[in-house]
Amino acid sequence: MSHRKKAMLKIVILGDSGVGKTSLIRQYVDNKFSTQYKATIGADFFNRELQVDDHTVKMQLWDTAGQERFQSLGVAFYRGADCCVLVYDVNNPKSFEALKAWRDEFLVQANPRDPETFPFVVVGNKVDIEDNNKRVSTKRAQAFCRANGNMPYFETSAKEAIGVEAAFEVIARNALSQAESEDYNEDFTDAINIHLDSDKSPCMC
Amino acid sequence: MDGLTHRPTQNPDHSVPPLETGLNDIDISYDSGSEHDDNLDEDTSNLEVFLSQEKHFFILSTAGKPIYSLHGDDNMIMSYMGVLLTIISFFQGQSHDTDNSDQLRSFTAGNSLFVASYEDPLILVAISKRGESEQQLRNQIDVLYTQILSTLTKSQISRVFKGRTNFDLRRLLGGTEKFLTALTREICKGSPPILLSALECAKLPRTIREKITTILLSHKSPSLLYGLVVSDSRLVSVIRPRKHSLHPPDLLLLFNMIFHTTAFRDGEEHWVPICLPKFNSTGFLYAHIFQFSKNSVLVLISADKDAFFELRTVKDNILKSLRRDNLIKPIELAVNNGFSFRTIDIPVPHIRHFLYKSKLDVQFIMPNIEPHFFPTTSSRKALMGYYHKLHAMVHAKNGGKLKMVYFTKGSATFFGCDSPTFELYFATGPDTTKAILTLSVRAILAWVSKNKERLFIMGGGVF
Ligand SMILES: Nc1nc2c(ncn2[C@@H]2O[C@H](COP(=O)(O)OP(=O)(O)OP(=O)(O)O)[C@@H](O)[C@H]2O)c(=O)[nH]1
Ligand SMILES: [Mg+2]
Repeated sequence: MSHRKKAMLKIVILGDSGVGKTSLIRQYVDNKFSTQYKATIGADFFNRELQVDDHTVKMQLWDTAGQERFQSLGVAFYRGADCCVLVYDVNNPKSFEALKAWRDEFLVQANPRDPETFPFVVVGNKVDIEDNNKRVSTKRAQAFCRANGNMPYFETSAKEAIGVEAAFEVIARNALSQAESEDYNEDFTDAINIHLDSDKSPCMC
Repeated sequence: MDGLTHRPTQNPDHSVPPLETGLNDIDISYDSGSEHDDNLDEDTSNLEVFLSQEKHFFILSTAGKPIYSLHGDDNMIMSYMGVLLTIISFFQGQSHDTDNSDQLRSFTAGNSLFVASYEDPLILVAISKRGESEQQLRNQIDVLYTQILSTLTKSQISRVFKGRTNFDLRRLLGGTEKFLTALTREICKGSPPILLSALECAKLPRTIREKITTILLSHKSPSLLYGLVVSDSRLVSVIRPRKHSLHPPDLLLLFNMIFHTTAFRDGEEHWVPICLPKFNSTGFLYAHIFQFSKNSVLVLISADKDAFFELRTVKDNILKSLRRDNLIKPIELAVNNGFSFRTIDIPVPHIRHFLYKSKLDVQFIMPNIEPHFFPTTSSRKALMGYYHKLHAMVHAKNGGKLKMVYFTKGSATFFGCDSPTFELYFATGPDTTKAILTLSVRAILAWVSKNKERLFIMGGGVF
């Protein structure tokens, strides 16, 4: 653990089951894609390092299961996140309509200091699948994002590696500014007031 | 998530592991060269090596961000911390209590014992295959926690995490990770002071120690809180105000920083803010640290951060007097090259090594580890492993009866006992009878009692 100058960012990825959360991360981290669906159970953890301007950031990607809410894990999962990624499948309107609930759930559980400015990024995945008349239009998705705190919006394909790098770059950037937004007071002035004849029971020496 | 199927132990206080666990195949891979602080992780960057380690320590924030890990590189531990947090939160999720009573405290998986400790906003975890008891591991992680407090203070940690659960504490720990590494290295060697939570004193003739203490007292200045002479991690002399004591866990940290890293032993004067958490975890004291001979260091502690020049004068005066009275040489002789005293100097046949802790003084003594009994690093580490086992056995809460234990292992018999005033552990010849063991105990106690004033610091200098 000698790379202490690198910012460590916690990124939570939420969305309905099957929308491609795990696939997006795998594509981003390993450049791999599988057509086989293996539901995530509980959670999985991935990392990737990235250069953002003059910072090297380490992204800790928390991949959650869409199938169940795993409510007993909720708080721990969301606590201290630097960015939350909301994923839906552009060919599945239901998964799009669920985004609001995922967002609300995150805000309740994570309880960030300033919910208004907490960074979310919305990702519409599986754009490689053509001719689908149920498809959620880009316009509709953008309108939703604008209405909910101006969330950045990306369309991706984990399968064809379209838009994935671009989405995660913005995710990293926004996470980094969240991590560094709240300045802490780094002074070491906690002095102790010693009264040499106060009443304290001695223990040794 | 295999981890989710583990249950917490039913009775966390009674978890002495099976006796044979892990003591025979003791790993010595990180036992060498305590000066090379940063090399520890080099060979642990692949997952197999990481998972095969005998001991792990993890410190993470409640958000799952890594703060410290003994092994592994960031990429490995980042995921691992997530898994740990998941396991821990799974059990937290089961209860709505706020009093922490239902938190996962420990479980075993295979031959690994897992112990977690919650010091909000930090989580500390120890995992060991070496057969220590839960209490011993808990004590080890408490030492690491105390080290973090001594760098940052409890108030500062609470402050930075307040409303910022995403805070990356490594930003504040900066270069002090080497102190944690030095501590974990000592723990992995089986450090007796950490096992016994006691200080070791340098064995010195009473008159010499008295002279040193008198010199310290005579140069005391208004803002001086504590003054210590320490030689090779062993306390030589201490002075303190009547109303303020020094706590051994605090001194263990101080000694660790001074003697198990190279940070302060360069012949320069050091002026460092340090929190002594058992004394006061909310603020800093300031320590003037100066190595004045090969193994020996003078530590002057004040609550006033502007007292540097005052304490520098105190230091100059103390050293002048120590030199004038030819006291530096006896101090160095007492600890020369790790030398303590020898088992052949005490009239107890067959004794190979022992630990004696005086509970009242919170101090312990031990003779040299003789190379003809313990020729290799692994045999020395095995000895410490047996001490841990004995210690766990006499401290196990099984009706409060078992206060004296012994067993034969290979070519040695190991004995341990716990009394209201002392603890004694030793290694002696194989198949020693109970009668002989009893004689040995009596002989050691008699020798300790006869030499008490040379072996222990009784009270120190008080002003
Ligand atoms: N055509 C196409 N299929 C995709 C894409 N992304 C994911 N898939 C497929 O969708 C299915 C589900 O993907 P996952 O990544 O496992 O979905 P998930 O969101 O992690 O699901 P849960 O773990 O159950 O929450 C898999 O069969 C993937 O192969 C994509 O961009 N295009
Ligand atoms: Mg998944």
